[in-house]
Amino acid sequence: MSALCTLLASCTHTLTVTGRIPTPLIEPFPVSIGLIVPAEFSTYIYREKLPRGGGDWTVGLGALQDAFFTTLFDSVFQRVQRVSLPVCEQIDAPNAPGLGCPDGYLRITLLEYAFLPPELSGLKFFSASTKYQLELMDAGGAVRDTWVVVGYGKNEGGGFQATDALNAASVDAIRDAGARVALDWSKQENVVTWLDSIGRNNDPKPIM
Amino acid sequence: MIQNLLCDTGTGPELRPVLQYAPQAPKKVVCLRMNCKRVLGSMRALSAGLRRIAMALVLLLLASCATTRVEQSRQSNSVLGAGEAMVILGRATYNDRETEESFTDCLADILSQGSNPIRLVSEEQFKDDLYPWFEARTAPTNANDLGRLFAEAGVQAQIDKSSIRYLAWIEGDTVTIDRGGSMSCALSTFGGGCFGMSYWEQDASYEASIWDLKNLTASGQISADANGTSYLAGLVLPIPILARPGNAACKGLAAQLRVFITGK
Repeated sequence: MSALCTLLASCTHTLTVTGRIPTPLIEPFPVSIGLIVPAEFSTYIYREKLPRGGGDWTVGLGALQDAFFTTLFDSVFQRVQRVSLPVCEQIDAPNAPGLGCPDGYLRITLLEYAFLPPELSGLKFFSASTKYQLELMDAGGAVRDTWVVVGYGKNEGGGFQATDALNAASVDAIRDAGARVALDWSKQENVVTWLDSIGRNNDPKPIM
Repeated sequence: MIQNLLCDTGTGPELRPVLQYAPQAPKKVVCLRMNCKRVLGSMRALSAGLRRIAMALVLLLLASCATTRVEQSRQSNSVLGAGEAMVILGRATYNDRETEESFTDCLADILSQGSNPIRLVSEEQFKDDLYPWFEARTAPTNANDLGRLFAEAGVQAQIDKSSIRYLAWIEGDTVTIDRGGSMSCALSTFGGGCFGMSYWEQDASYEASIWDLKNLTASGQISADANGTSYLAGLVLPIPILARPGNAACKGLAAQLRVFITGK
């Protein structure tokens, strides 16, 4: 495949990552959160020209990761409201009356996405990784915690199934990061301190 | 209760118990399966010239058989009840070796068909329903962890809803352990062809760890090891003679897993 790509000067691979979005089996924290999702998060497209005839790759990751983390946070927290800034006025806007101010704000950012095809890794599978940053702010907008989580996924495949394999590896990388967010974020020291400060700390439990 | 189960001698060809350990717990049964095809009969119809070539191919074919060894260790006496299901999960790792998805698909295909089909819940559905508890990073690594996981009421309720009784973790892979020979192909305006011979030997080694999700215990293990050498002979046309030890291991493991789970 690589030799063929070299002969043809370049191969172009375009992929919009798709996959199922599970609903976490987690009892939500009794916390209301203002969720800040940057615009580029839901429209993120990764582009790379791989060396040694690996071809040009365009990977649309934004739509799936946006839908995935929307579902995830809806399960992790008792109430989630999307806002653009960590200020209470956003919640009390006329189109959303009566919701009140959230207990805190959470901003999710994709710091990095990367993948490695079998031709470059020497292994027989595609691997992909996602690196997210979760920034917790209190009700006043002061940053209380910054946590970086890395997700990893891999999938057998290559040649003419390359895009399918990369799609599956990318979905696994998002799921892996999501699993850590669901189970480990609340265990971070600063998060525990914040939850204690608002009197809402409890360990995540599955739905009864 | 510890119980020993014999290999299925009724349906699978040449699958027979060859070694049985002393009747002490846990008991083991070892089976061998020769995955060869009988082709000698059809040679009678060939001319004398072709017969020599065919004989050479048959010798290669016989040498390319895959030999499968199946072992079972059982720690409980329970079997699948009416309406109960099983899920087959490939154990994910972060190193460069991992159970191939095609292997677990092969097991699922065999177990869900036949005269005694087993109701299977797909791996994808199971992981989605129980997300995030059975991801590569978060899945329990041994049956002792089941108690802690099932203490979480939502997990137990989801398992009950799907009527899943058994979980089979599949570990292992197929690796090429030896290769050699050479073959060259040429193409010209007068024609072309390939001459020479190459071979590769593969070893497939898999193990199924069966967990009882009703009693939250390990029910037992079944391992299947298959070995075979494949050939690519260049006699003008390249002729592949494949041993497929991975497929042989899948069939051997599936047959024993069916007996283990259903008791028949």
